[in-house]
Amino acid sequence: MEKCISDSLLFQYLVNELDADLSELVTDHLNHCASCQKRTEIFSEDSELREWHECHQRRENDEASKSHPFSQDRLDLLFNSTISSFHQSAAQTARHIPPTGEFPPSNQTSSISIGKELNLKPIRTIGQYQLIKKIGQGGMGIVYLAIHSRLKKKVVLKLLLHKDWDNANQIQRFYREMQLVGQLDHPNIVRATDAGEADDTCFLVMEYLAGHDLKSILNAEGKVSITAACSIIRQAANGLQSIHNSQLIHRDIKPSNLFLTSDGQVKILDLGLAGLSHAEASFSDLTDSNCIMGSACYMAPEQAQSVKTIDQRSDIYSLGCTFYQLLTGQVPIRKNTPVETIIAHREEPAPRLSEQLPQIPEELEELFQSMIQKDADDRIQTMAEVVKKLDVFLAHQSNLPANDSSDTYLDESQELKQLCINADVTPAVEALNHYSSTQYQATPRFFKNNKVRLITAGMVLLGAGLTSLFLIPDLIPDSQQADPIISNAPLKINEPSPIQAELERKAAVWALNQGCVLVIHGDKKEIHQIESLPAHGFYLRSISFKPQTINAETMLPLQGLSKLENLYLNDCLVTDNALLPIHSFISLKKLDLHDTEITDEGLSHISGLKNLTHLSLQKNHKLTDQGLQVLNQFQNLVSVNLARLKISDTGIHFIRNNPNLEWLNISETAVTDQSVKYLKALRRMQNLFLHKSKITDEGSNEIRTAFPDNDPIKSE
Amino acid sequence: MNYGSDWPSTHITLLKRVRVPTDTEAWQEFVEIYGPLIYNYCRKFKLSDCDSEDVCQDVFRQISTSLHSFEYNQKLGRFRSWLGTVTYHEICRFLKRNKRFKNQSGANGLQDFIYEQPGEIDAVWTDEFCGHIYTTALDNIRTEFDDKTWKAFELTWINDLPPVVAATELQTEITWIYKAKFLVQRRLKDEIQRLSFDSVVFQK
Repeated sequence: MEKCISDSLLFQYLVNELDADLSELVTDHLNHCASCQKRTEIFSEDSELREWHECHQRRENDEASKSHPFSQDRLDLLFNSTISSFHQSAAQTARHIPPTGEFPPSNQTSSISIGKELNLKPIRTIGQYQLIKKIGQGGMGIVYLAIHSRLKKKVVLKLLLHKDWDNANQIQRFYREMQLVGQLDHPNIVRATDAGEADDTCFLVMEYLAGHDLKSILNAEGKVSITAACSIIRQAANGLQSIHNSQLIHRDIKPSNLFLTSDGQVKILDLGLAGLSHAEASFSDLTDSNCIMGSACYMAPEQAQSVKTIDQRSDIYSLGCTFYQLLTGQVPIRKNTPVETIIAHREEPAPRLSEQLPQIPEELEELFQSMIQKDADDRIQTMAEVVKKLDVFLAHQSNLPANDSSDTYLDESQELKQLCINADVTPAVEALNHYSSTQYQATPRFFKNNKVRLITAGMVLLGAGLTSLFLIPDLIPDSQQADPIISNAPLKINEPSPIQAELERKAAVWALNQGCVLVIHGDKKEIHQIESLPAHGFYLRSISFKPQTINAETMLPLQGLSKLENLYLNDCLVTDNALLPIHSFISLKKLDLHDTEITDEGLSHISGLKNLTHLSLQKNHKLTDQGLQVLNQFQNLVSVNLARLKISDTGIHFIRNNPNLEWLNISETAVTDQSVKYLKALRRMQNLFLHKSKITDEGSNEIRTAFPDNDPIKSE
Repeated sequence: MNYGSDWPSTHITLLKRVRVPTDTEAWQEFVEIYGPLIYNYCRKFKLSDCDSEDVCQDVFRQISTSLHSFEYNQKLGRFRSWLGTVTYHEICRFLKRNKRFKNQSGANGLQDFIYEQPGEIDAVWTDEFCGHIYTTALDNIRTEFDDKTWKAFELTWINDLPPVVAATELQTEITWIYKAKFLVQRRLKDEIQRLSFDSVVFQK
């Protein structure tokens, strides 16, 4: 570094905020530049601190003020002799202080109270975090209240305990998982803010929340009211739908992983961790670990069989079990050991809510039953549907006069109920993937209920402008408010939420300004101009760029397009970090990178596109075998163009995981006969381009013989 | 010396905590920080060991009954001044009560003191207060640093040696010394700020 160091750089250097490379440059310069050394010394001189030091020195030098030692015994004495009077006066004055909410009530059960921790000495420092105190321990790790040393911001830090952390794969897996978790931004999911490694293990940092997890609430309350339970499950389901839309599964939904904040919001905790702990877990692991028991009571039958068979519907089962526990105070199925419990989940019929709670409204019983069906196909299929059913129920509840409320019989904490009722309701998240259509439908009985009349009355009032009567008016679309009977009808799937609609529109405008051609869902015609965008909300389906340089700045404004299926970047110049924002295109199926000068590193960012079916990488001379390993992440590829790449057999490893391949171009590559046996195994292959590869005529013939009905090998 | 209002005033919370009847831990820490200070201030007025301890207790009782009126009000005096005033009054009360300033010759601490150094009370208290908080803060943070880092800080800050000398003595690069000094200095400032409640103001 030739130039002298700026003050701001110097400051960052002194507080150790620079990355290793830059820091080294500054060190080199500073070690040799006398003028910068002088500046550093002036810079780090602190006149305020110097004054304190001088006071101290004056006192030291003053004979008369020789310090008399004050022993711990004397301190204890002083403490004991004053604490009682302090208590009295504090108790007296406390009555005069209006409640400000600043002080936690003395009977607060939370292990966290607000504010005071900032003054405690850290028990340990990890990176930039000062651990203040342990607030919990689970199967996966120890949870601390921590403070970010610079921002002075309270956070929750989880140190993960895992016997395999020395395994580099495991750490990679952790980061991959955390990257996905880091993308999620939903009010009902606890926000992960940082992740890293320290002292041979990994840690995860999350936003700090004031409140309690549902397990401790259940411990304190026994069970909660119907309204509170529905509100809690509704919020959790909404958060989970957002998780599911990102192709993630929580795998460990249970009361201790659901957190109720002091303003009534439910936050899902520990996302991504269960995947780490259970991924390699086998049935035998369950027998000797106590901590698994906590999860076994909520585990879907298919989850215990194999990690591979689970999908998002396993979370629905677990949430169903949680729902049952919130309402009754007990888990639906519990045996003496985790293994027996898991078997019982598979074999024994689930209990009915009404056995414990005869007053349970029929629609909630049905919802519960539909959530805990043994066969995932028989279950209610998406969290979005759970949300909808609960919204309908809660909307009806809120319109009932207070004294007619169906759950006044419960010996409940009114406070908790109020809290849940007043919580901000997050807009319902739509489901992006459907497995099959849900069998469960609300019974007509529900609509014969006298509540309907009350709702109708509510609607009339609403018409008169008394909107405040409705707790969640936004959840019922305007057109449906007029007729309560059809308020149960499904929402149109192609209508994005207002937030998503705004995001899609902004992205569309940006893309059009970049000269792109767009296609939106439900409309085949191409859009070239901003004026051609429809006035209503839409989802972008396809974006084609004209030849230009593409970097992260170009792509960033497109982040979050949840239904984008096609992205054409062919003939553009794609820089290394251009595809960084692409992971948010969870629905992307087709990606064209034909002749884009893309490098191995640039290509590495596509690893999260699990739904990718069509990929063209033709004519990218910088790509190597190593870079193509990213394709091993995919399983649904149908068509892949690798023509004119400098790759060999190693580069097409992915064909072993992608049995659906129908179209593959490896012409003008160095792929040899070694790959023939894997090419032969692609039973759906229809178009295979091999010319000018290293595959010999014998090799080609071998492939042909494997497809007697239809010769897949095509020339040019 | 006053860390102004632009400093994040997280340290206010200990004072808040001592107002919560159940938070004996906070009160304990409060006593630990300020007990020795008040005791030594009493000794400065030539009070005996035993009497100093009594006055100390009186001061803390006084504090405990007045705590509810702590407010954040930058316009009114700082916590430090308020504590000085309370201590001063308690010492006066004690001396009056015991009438020692009449009966005992040579031990008329306060009067002698005031007579000898008119107008100096505030300055003396400030030095006592700041000196005590400074040394307490140094003690508190010492264990957070390794020996070498601490040594670098001692040489460059406490002994005020040029960093280049410290670097030679510790056989390290001058840049390392810069960083070590800066690191400890910042932590020391934080701790002083935490202990001194300088942005907490007492409303009468």
